[in-house]
Amino acid sequence: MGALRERLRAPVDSASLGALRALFGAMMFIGVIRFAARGWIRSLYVVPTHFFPYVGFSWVRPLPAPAMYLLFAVMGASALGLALGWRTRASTLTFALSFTYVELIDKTVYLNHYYLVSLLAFLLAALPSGATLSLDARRDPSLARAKVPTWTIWLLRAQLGMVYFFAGVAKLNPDWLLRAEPLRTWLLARSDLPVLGPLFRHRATAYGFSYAGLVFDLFVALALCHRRSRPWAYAAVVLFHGLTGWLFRIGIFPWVMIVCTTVFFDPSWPRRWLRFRAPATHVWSPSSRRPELVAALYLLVQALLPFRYLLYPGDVLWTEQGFRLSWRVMLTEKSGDVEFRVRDPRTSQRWTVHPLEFLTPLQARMMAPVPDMIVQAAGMVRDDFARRGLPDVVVTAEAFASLNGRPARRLIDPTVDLGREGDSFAPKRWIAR
Amino acid sequence: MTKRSSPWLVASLSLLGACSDEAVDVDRNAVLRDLADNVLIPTCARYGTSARALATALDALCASPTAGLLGQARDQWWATRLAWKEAQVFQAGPFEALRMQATVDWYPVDASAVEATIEGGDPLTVDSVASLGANRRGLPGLEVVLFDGAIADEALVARLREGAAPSRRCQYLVAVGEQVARTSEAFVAAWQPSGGAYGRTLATAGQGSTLATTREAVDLVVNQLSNTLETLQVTRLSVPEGSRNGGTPQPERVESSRSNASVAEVGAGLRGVRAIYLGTYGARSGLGLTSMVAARSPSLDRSVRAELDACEASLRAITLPLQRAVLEQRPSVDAAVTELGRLKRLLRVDVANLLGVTISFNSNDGD
Repeated sequence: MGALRERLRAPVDSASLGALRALFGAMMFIGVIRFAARGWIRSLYVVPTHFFPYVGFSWVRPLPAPAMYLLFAVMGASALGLALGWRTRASTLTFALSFTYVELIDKTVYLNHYYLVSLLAFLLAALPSGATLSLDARRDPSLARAKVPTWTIWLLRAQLGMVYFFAGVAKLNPDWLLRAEPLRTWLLARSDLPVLGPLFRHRATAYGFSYAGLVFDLFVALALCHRRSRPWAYAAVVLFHGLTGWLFRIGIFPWVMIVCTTVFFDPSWPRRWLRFRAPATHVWSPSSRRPELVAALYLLVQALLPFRYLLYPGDVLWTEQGFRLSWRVMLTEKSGDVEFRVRDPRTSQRWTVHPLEFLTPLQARMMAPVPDMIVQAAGMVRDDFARRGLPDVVVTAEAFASLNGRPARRLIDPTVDLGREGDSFAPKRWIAR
Repeated sequence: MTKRSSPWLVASLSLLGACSDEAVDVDRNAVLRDLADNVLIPTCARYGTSARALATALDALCASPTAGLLGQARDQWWATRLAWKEAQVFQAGPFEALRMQATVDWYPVDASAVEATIEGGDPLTVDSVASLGANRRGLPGLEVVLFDGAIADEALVARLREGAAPSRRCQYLVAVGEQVARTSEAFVAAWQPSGGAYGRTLATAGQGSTLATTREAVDLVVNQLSNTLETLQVTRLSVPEGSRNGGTPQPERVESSRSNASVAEVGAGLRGVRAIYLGTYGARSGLGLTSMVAARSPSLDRSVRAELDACEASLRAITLPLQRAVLEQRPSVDAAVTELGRLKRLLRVDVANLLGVTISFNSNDGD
């Protein structure tokens, strides 16, 4: 144990950590600009009148429009600060908090890579990411550190490795292995592409892509860790993310991964590539007395989260209980349709409420196949009727969904008053299985 | 099954799946090309021809108003209206660019505003009616003047003759009829290869077209059908039946109630959906969405076809004008709402999932 601790504490070049921070910050800066330029601040956080908060985070609400724009301005500025290494810790923490706040507002915009961005931002805030390749180190050499403990690099490697590994483990399911779904459906939809497009019409291509993706996810992190296999593994990373970025609309995520996996390189790679000298100062010392223990606990939580679905009955891809925060990436093509039936038991009056009456088209689409969001929407309907003077209405859902090309079937028990259920971590017995 | 044999079984099943007969999908660009050539362009052309015939019928009526010519104008209004409802299914491209909804078919029409326009003193020319509010012109505006169940046909003809010829009422009919016809001709031209060539835009999606990918075009087509079905189910039938009113019918929310065309219009919309799904319109036929669906799931294709038939049958069962049916034939209206909802779900959930379509709801659904 002691030997392991010694190895984890052994100093290594801080250059790759600085490079990761700079590259990650630059990607985030571009990401924030892109988000604003596409009008998504307005369409996602200003226009909607209802939001889908996470359990325990209903206090996270969108700010009034001017403040929302200001928040994104702060996020963009802090991303730039992160990239440049200016007031690094404050910039990184500001970015992490502002980004995470925005992500917590509405579940309908959840993406695994947004979750990863939050995690990496908090990790970079906790680690000495401004020790080199930063304005801080240039401005005040006493802040510069030539070396950081080995565990700081391995913590980031482990985090990224888990993303790939658990994405691979999640692919060990019958749809992926035996039906090549949902890749088959997605490739067919891109059969117009030059050169590769005609191949996508063949079922064998989908199987080839499915198994290649599975092997890649399961083993790429391992291959990146070893010096001899690293060049090939990194080439595979570039090829894989380049291809998925080309084929599917997944924004800047491929570039984020291509950039972040440089942390698997030899820690001195930026110094060798950019030919700059290490600061003539010492090793960074963490404020915590047992930093490795804190890091190990963090990784343990990260390793357990993807398995929390085992606490719930049913197929996680169908129920989506334990689905998020688990790196279940590109696993489902799921479509849904829902309408709410409202009944006043006192008068027997009946209404039908369609999601577009109170949600944006994007929210309606994202909510329709997901049980926990359907129950939240039912709560919104109940609240709306209560405001109209009808507090005791019964709200049920006619909800149907199709998963990975299977015929649609009922998703929610239509006899349950969802208006009284509410969202929680408890198993949702009203999901039709 | 032993642990050792499991991987081999998975590998064998996968290999079997990869090499099974159903290995090749249809060419989606061929489907889009056929849809444009055989369905969408002819549907628009039929509407354009009908709209011009309506303008001609209104000219004839106003040249010498008689009950016979009023009947002919009404028949032509009906024909145009149904042709429009078929063409209205595809609300993208020229439909959006030419703001067809606002020009031809705004709902709800403001009947009192139409009457006020006629009673007023502003000139009633093609240009002037083009600048009227959307709720006082178009086909619904013509309906207000041509159909009025409150008075006998003779009295209505007499109104057309009121004052110096042509009467203000006739000036309105002729001007709005001409405006609808001209807009329709621009609409038709925008689809033709010699005009805006939107048919080609659709057919060549992903091959230099403004539709960047075939997927975008297929998404567009499926979404048009899904959104149309939602409008037919919710706005046209369910809302008048009282679904937003605690179950109390709202016959005043029925579209085209003066002409009693409501149920026929829903049927026309459904025919438009059928035509695009099957790739067949009149005597013309080719590939349709059915080809793409059947290639991957023959059973789903059969379900969609059967549901199209069920929807049509349910509409036939509504024998009264809709504003009466929501009061006197509720089970029939209920059944139609249910069947249209099933068809919508098949397209929005099953077909969309099978084809990898991203559903983009029509935020203008409803009113």
